Formats: sequence, structure tokens, C-alpha cells
Amino acid sequence: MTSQNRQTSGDLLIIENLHKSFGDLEVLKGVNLNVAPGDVVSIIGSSGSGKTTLLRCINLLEEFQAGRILIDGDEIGYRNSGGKRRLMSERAIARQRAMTGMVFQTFNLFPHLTAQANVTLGLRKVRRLPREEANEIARTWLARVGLADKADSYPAQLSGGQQQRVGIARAVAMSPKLMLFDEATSALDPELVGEVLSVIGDLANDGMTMVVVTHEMQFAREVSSRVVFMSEGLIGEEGKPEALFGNPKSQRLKEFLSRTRT
Amino acid sequence: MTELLSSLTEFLVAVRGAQPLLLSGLVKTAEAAILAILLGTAFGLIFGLMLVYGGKILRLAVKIYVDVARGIPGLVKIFTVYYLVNQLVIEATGYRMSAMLCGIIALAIHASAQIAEMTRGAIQALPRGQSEAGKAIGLTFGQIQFNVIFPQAIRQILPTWVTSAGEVVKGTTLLSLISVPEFFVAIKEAAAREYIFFSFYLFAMLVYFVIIYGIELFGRHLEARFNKY
Amino acid sequence: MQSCSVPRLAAGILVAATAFSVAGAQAQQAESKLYEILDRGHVIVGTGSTNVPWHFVDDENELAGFDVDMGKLIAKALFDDETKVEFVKQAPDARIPNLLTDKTDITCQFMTINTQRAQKVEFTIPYYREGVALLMPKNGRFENREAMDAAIADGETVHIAVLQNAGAEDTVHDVISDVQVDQYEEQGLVFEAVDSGRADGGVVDLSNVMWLVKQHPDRYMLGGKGTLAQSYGCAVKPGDQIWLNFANAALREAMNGRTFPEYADAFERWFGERPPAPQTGFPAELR
Repeated sequence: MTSQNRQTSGDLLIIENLHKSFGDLEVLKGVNLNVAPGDVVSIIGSSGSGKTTLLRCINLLEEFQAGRILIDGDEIGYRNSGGKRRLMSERAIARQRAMTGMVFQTFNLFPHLTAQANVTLGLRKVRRLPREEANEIARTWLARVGLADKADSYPAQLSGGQQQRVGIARAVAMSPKLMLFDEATSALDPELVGEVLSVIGDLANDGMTMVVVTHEMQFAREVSSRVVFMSEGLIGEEGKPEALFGNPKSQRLKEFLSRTRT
Repeated sequence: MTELLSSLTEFLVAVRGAQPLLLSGLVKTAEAAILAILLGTAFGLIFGLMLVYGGKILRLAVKIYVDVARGIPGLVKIFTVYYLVNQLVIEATGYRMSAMLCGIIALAIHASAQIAEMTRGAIQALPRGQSEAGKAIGLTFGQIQFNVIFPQAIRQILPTWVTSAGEVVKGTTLLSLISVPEFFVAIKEAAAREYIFFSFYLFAMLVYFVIIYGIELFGRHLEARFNKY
Repeated sequence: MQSCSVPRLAAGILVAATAFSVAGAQAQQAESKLYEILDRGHVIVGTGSTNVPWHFVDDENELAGFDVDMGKLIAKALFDDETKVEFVKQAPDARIPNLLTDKTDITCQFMTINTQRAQKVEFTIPYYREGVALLMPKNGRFENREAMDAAIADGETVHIAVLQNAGAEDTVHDVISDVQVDQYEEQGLVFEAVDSGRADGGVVDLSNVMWLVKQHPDRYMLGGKGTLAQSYGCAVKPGDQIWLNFANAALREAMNGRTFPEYADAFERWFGERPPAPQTGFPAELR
């Protein structure tokens, strides 16, 4: 944590000129984004626009070739040594990942663990809390997402909506500075979408800083403090939800909105 | 009927007389099998991890090892270690490995190759999201393997592991060819001394069946433990 | 200076060299396995453990048999102590490889001397001459060999068991002709066939028949010997004349010299008869 890596702009998340390629295919072509504490930023855009990749870079699930990401002033994933950009050690990266919480489209719960054990694993192994304290936190969060009675159930015994709520509890229980949602409701049956969105909405109302990749325009409009429209690896347009949805400037966004509007 | 009884009595007396011999053979067999299974499992898991996560060169090296080890018949492996590797070790270090050690190494090589391959298969069969979910909550690579990957992969590994362990037990009978006084040698010695052959071989079959069936029961017990979800 | 003759000078240099270089002298000596064995304090003898009366585990769980006694005899010749011997139990297939890789110093394991093997190892002089013989059960189909021959003459089928190998038919016909030859994969199964009555007799090594008849006179009898002989010798790794000479000396003196009683006791213990004693005067083996 050298001083040169520390930024004091007040923004929780700073993304500068982010470039990411898979082989020859450049997916992110220089993305810039700032997120202030308490912000809820929704990222919309058609599939292939790079929004999920952007999210995965923030959590270092993807490496990136150029640019910087800072969370709470700390540069993520890479350090400069002797003028060269180097990937940090696996251990250091693991520590940085714990600053963010991630909710996956496909839930990715650990099927061999109960709902409660899914939540306590990180608390015990990463935050090294004693068993009792970890269980306490897990039960509190499971109750917050409405699953107090499912603590001892295995994922296979839960509905998709319930599984995703456990996934959210697992992420927020770690007290992350920033929550990332990657199309958290896309894999759900329509009737189960509501319960998950309301849990995410509650978190937003509590002041949690969040970046949400979503296809739910209604949700983006209601919950977000800002909406970002991504197109072809760049941020095409961003602004307050009412401005972006009500008065889209670019042709691309207009087309996108007309396609998604039901 | 009385003839059968008398020959059975004769056999039981012979078994009793050969008890110390048979017991020491059984101990040797158990020792060789247990050590080979433990070594083979440990290295098999490590090699399996290398196959999944290693760099290109490491993966290739381990893959060659696995293919060669699986492609060479057990007896050839035992002879290779006992006669060739042993000789090379003596020339390099002056240390002479015992026949028992050579046998254990050869059996462990076989088991490690089998287990490496099934470990690779089991880990790669898991959705990628599992390790990503582990990463996302800040677990290190090792923590992910121990807490997320292995507990799930082991369900798939166990049935084949039981087969491998059984193969090791059966393979111990080959160790007699490099002078390890294992159980089947003891059986042959007792049979030769008493000139009772069929009954002793039948007895050996029964004992090996009990051992291998025991391993299978143990495997099933483990499977049940990991099958709660 | 003049008084210093060449032979005396040479002797002096030799003494000096010996005094200066003990290591050099040892290196010279260690060129034979014999010295290595003497340094080590025991001899490593390869033998089997599953063939009575050659090499087997007795009731006290000790290795016993005629081959084993030959190993002890060599130990006694080396150290004047027959317990200074380590036996390596090996399968017959391992006899030659274990010699060539120095896992054994010498192998005494009913090893037939033949010229193919003599291309890979060096044999000592023989210590036994083996043949084949017919083992017949006492309570079997035939009271004796004459009854069996009569039955064969009458055209009855007589089953004779033998260990499976390339020359199995010839082996049987060395003892008895015009019989049905049943080949078995293991020696033990040959005896099993005789015991169970599946075979009317078994053609096995003469030594086996002698031992069985001695042990169980109520169960077995000798049904005649064959004529073909083969020699059993110990074997050593090729290229070590010093060690081979020593092993030969030990065996030769056991059969023809001072240690004959030990050899003869062993012979009688396992084969039931005493070999002819050596004669004094002219050494008969050179005749």
C-alpha cells in the first residue's frame, strides 16, 4: 500500500482506461467509470457489449491488459515494479477480492454445504472469525434475505430464487465495500425474479455501494442512482435513470431501449 | 463326507501350524498395500492438480508420466524399479533400496497415475463457477481446493479410488517375484511344506476377497459421508 | 649406491607404495566379490522358499532344504560360521537378474546347468544330479508299478500328471510309456492330481519323490526312476574368477574333502540316503 497507489478523490471505485482482450478480440476498449460511496450503478447494454467482463475485471476474475482499477484508493490486481506492470501474488489478489462481493447469474452456491455453511465459509477462512460469531452473522443475513428457516438446507433443496438469496447473503456477509451483481436474475423463472430484486433493492436502500449488470430495465430505473449504457466495449452514455431512459441521446441507446421495452 | 471333514481338519491343522508364517505374510502385504495406496493417493492428487492447473510444460510432463505409468504392465513396472531404478539410485547415491521399498514405489506409481487421471476428470467436471465463487469471497487457491473443489470431486473420485486400491492389493502378489515375503508367498510356502495346494490357494482367495471387499465397504462408507447433499 | 641392486630397489618401491597407499591396495583387492563378502561379514545367497526338499520354510519358520544347506556350507567356508549367511528368497525367474544386478552374491536354487544359462551366468561345479521319477499313491488305482504296466498292456488308459513345459511328454516317457500325459501349470497341482486320484501317478523330480516317500511312506511310493540326468549347480555373476574359484573350492571340498560329513548329512537329511564317501590316495575326481 504505497502512497503512489493511494488515491483520495473520494470515489469508492475508479476505473481508468480499462482495456481487456480475449486473444485478438478486444472486449473492453478503454472504459472509464467512477462510483461514489452509496452509489447504485446499473450497467445495461446488449449482450457482447462487455458489461459482464467489466464486472469480472473489478473482481479480478479476469485479468486485464491495460488501465487501472482502484477500490477505496487501492489499485487492484497489478503493481508497478521497476516500471513494469506485474500481476500481484495470488494471496494479495485473494485479499483484495474480499473487498468486493459478487453475485453470479448462475448462483454458484457450494452444493456440498448447507445455506448457512455457504455463508460462513468466507467468514471462517478469510476473515478468520470464530465459529460461533460466523454462525451468528450467517443467521442474521439469512434472516435478512428471508431464509431464516432454510439455514440447514442444501442448495439442491432450495428454489432458484432462494438459492440466489443465499448467494447474496454469502456475499454481503463478508461486509464488502462494494457489491457486484452479474445478471443476478437472468437464470430465474419469471415468478422468482421479484423476491431477488426486492432483496437487492433493500440493500440499495441501506446505502450499500453497488454495481449491477442487469436486463431488468424497470429495476434499473427504480433502484439506480446512475445508469451506464455500454456498447461495443465502451461506455456509450451514462446519467441519472430518468434522463437516460426518458431522453436517450445516442441512436444506439434508443435502439437498445426500443428493443428491450415490452 | 467324512473324507471331506478329515481333509478339512487336516487343512485347519496345517493353517494353524503355518499361522506365524501366514500372519507375517499378511502383515507384509498390508504394509505394502497401505503405504502404496497412501503414497499413490497423495501423489495422484498432486499430479491431478498439476494436470488441471499446471503450465503447459508441467501438464505435458505429468501427462506423459500418467500415460506411461498406465500403459506399462504392473510386473514390468515392478521389475523396472527393482532392477533398473534401484541400480541408478545405487550409482548416484550409493543407497540400495530394499525390495519392499521398490515394490511399494512401483505399486504407488501405478496408483498415482490412475488417481491423477480421475482427479483431473473429477475437477474438470465441476462447473467453473465453483472456483470463481470461492475466489469471489476471497479464498486463496489452496482454500478453494480444500473447501470447495475436493469435497465435491471426491464423490466422483471415490468409486474409482476403491478400484485402484483393490488393484494395489492384487498387485502386491507380484511382489513375490522381487523377493518380498508377502502373503501369497507365505501361502505358497505353507502349501509347499504341507503338500496341500488347493485348500491353501482357496484360503488365499478368500483372504484377498475379504481385504478387497473391506476396502469397498470402507469406500462406500466414505461415499455415504460425502453424499449428504 | 653401487650396492643397491635392481631387485632390492624394486622391492623397496613396492613396500613404499603399499605403505603409502592403503586405499590403492584395497581397491586392488576389492576387484573380487570374495573380498567384498569378507568385508561385509556375511554372504548373500539367493534361493527359493516354495520347493521341498530344496528350499522351503520349515515348521520353525526357518528356511530349510538342500539348497539352503549348500548356502550354509559356503558361509562356513567363508567365515567358519554357517550362520553368516543372508538368504534372499526369490522366484526362479529372478535367479539370473538378481545375480547380474548384485542383489545376490551367489544363487543355489535347484538351478539346472545348461549352456543357454551359462552364457549369462557362471556355474559352479554341480552339487546334485537330478532325474525324474514316478510318484504313485499308496491307495490308488494300482497296487504297484507292475500292476500299472499290466493295465497299460491291456489297453487301459493311465493318467500321468506332469508340470507343464516344452519337454513334458519326453520327461514322462523317460519313466513310463503309452500313458495319457496330463500337464498342469504348477508343481503343486501335479501333487494335487495324484492325491485326488485324477491322475494315477505323477512324474516329478526324483528328489521330490525321495522326500515324499521318506516323509509319508503310508501315502506314496516310488514307481521307477528315469534315465536322463541333469546337474544342479550354484551360479555367480560372470567375470569374477576369484569368487567362482572360491565357491568351487567350497563345494568340491564338501563333496570330496574335509567337509564331506556336512555335505553327506545334508544329503541324507533331504534324500534319505548317504552319498559314497571320498577315497583317500589319488583324487578320484581327476580320473
